[in-house]
Amino acid sequence: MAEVERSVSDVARTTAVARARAQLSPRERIGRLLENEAVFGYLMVAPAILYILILVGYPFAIALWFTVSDATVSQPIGPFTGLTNLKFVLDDEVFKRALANTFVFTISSQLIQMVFGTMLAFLLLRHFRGRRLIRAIVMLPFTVPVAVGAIAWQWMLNPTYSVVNWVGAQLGFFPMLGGPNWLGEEQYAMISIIVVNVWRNLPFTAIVLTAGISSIPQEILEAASLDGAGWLTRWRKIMAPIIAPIIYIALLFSLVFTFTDMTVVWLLTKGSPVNSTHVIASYAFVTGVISGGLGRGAAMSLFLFPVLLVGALMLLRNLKARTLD
Amino acid sequence: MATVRLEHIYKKFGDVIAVNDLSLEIRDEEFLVLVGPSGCGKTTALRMVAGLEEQTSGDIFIGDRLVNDVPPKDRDIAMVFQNYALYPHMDVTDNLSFGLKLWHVVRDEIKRRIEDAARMLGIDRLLQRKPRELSGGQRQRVALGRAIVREPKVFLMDEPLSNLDAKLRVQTRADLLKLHQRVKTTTIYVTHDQVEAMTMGDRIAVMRDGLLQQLDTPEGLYASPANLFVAGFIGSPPMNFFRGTVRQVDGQTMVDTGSVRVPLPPRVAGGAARAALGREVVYGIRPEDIEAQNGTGGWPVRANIEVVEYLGNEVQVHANVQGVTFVARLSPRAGARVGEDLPLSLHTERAHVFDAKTEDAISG
Ligand SMILES: Nc1ncnc2c1ncn2[C@@H]1O[C@H](COP(=O)(O)OP(=O)(O)OP(=O)(O)O)[C@@H](O)[C@H]1O
Ligand SMILES: [Mg+2]
Repeated sequence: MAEVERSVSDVARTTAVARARAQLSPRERIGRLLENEAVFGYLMVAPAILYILILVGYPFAIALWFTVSDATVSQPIGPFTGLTNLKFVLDDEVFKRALANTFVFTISSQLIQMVFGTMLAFLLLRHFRGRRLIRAIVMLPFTVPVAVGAIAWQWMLNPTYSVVNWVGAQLGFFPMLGGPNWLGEEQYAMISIIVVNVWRNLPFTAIVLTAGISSIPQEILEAASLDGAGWLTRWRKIMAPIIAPIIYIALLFSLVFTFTDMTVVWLLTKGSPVNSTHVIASYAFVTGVISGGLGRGAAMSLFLFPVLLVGALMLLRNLKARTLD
Repeated sequence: MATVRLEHIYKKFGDVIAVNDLSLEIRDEEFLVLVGPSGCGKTTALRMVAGLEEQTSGDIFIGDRLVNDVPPKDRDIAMVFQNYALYPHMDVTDNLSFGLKLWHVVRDEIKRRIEDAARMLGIDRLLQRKPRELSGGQRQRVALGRAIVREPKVFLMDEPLSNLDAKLRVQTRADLLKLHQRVKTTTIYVTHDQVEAMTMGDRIAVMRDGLLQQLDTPEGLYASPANLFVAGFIGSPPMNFFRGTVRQVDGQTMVDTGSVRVPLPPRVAGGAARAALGREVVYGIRPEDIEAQNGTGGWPVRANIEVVEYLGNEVQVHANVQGVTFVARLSPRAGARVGEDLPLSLHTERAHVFDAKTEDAISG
């Protein structure tokens, strides 16, 4: 009955609208159009869609084309070459090293960030004097422009003036003037890159974790204490599972970001010594932009795309399952 | 099984004194209710017993053991929180078994306890569900179950029924009492609802502004409230109060409000009555101690009826005697009609008298 009444009134309204429209001025007509939810809604999301098409879709399509063509900086529309670029890339020793570095760099950064981020989060959640100051200090790496931060680190890791080595020597870890050349030796350079990257991203991880942890009702943790759970059990069995969805998002974001990031490598070593510290992104940049081999550079950039895509989809699905169940 | 003893407990939050010199002994197997208005320090007191909050000073004993420095998990207590605090990511079984596993209770025993508790609480069909798939009442039962399976020395419950609707509350109240009769675990139960307190408590501790006002059985609190606050807090509708002065009138000691005179109850007799002469007092009489006149005694007054609230089994009337207004619970057959006069009798032998300044009960 109500259904019928509604549809009758709908019909009445639409005919009334049609009649009214016939007599409207153009300006009024636009006004009416904007009142329409469908029209207005699409209008509102249009910038986002345009953004994705122009700034994400277009470069991506170009990169795909570059990968299968012999594009160079001087001749961007090169001839189609199929998988030649990919084959070349796979035979490139430096690329293989960069690929391995990317995984080492990403995974160890993530692991260290998670462990220290968690510790930092708990520290930030405690009530103590000067907590605000500590929070501000923790946020500092996030607010300092990364280039400035990297320059500071370069100075600190410089073989001659290294603050790190001086402190290490004072503490008796290495002889005075005989400490490691942090950015000049392969192993140490990689370690330095990871440390600086962790330094840069730790605030983000810590803040996300802090937000997650503080969203857990205090009573739940108290109930767990009364049930006999010490802090480690509370973290493993109660807090971590509850904030898992948040951790997943942060991890997904951070993983994809780190896999494709070259900032710290570029600012600290530019791949040196002897191309041993490149990650895929930095080597692709060198190959594609600096040396002008656009096709090969694109092939490198897109090399991990399928892996990242599958990883991202898996994490998203996992997240959905968790939030739904 | 255990007693719980609080000795001169203070708790300060900055400048706020949440609990002020609280001394209390909860007997073995007792169901003690801690009641009082919002913010009077009930939760704080309970949390200190649990070890979730540290007292500023004073001692807490569970059994014979001083537990001041014992962490919550080693106090052998279980707590039911007001908002249940179930583990949201675990199903009911895991919620119940979490604590038991941590104490390395063997699997068969865990199973037995969960089955027992689930049957007792009527949640045996919900064991695979997550908390968010349960109704408020069901969650409440799971929270109780989590406490029961632990088989602790003491149960602490912080307003566990306050999130339930009225009907479920009454039912769960009865279930809780049955449960207590069965397991007999010493229980401290916090509520701000005096009806809950009266119906459930073996004894009731009434608190106000962090101070213990009175500790007594429900009957004791009702029959002899220690002060004006307790008198007004216990009983519904609350006791009627009139201010007056104690005077000698025609050889009898009366409370004179200026327009109305009523005799002192026998509990204020002899020396106490004499000592009270001339003092400002508050005279209290419960609505149920006022009847329509039927020739069976009581102090007769003629009251004008201002409001009549019909409740089915009784009517509550707002009556006015020469400017003094009070509430009375009458039989529906008493014939109270708005605007009309009705002869009432006050059972002044059950009245209470309080010192107007100290607010303490006067008795002799
Ligand atoms: N963590 C805290 N920090 C500061 N003040 C607090 C804290 N916890 C409680 N208080 C204060 O202590 C007093 C007692 O609080 P408490 O929670 O014990 O009251 P309550 O009797 O449980 O009240 P309600 O019936 O509303 O739950 C209140 O004045 C409250 O504001
Ligand atoms: Mg409370």
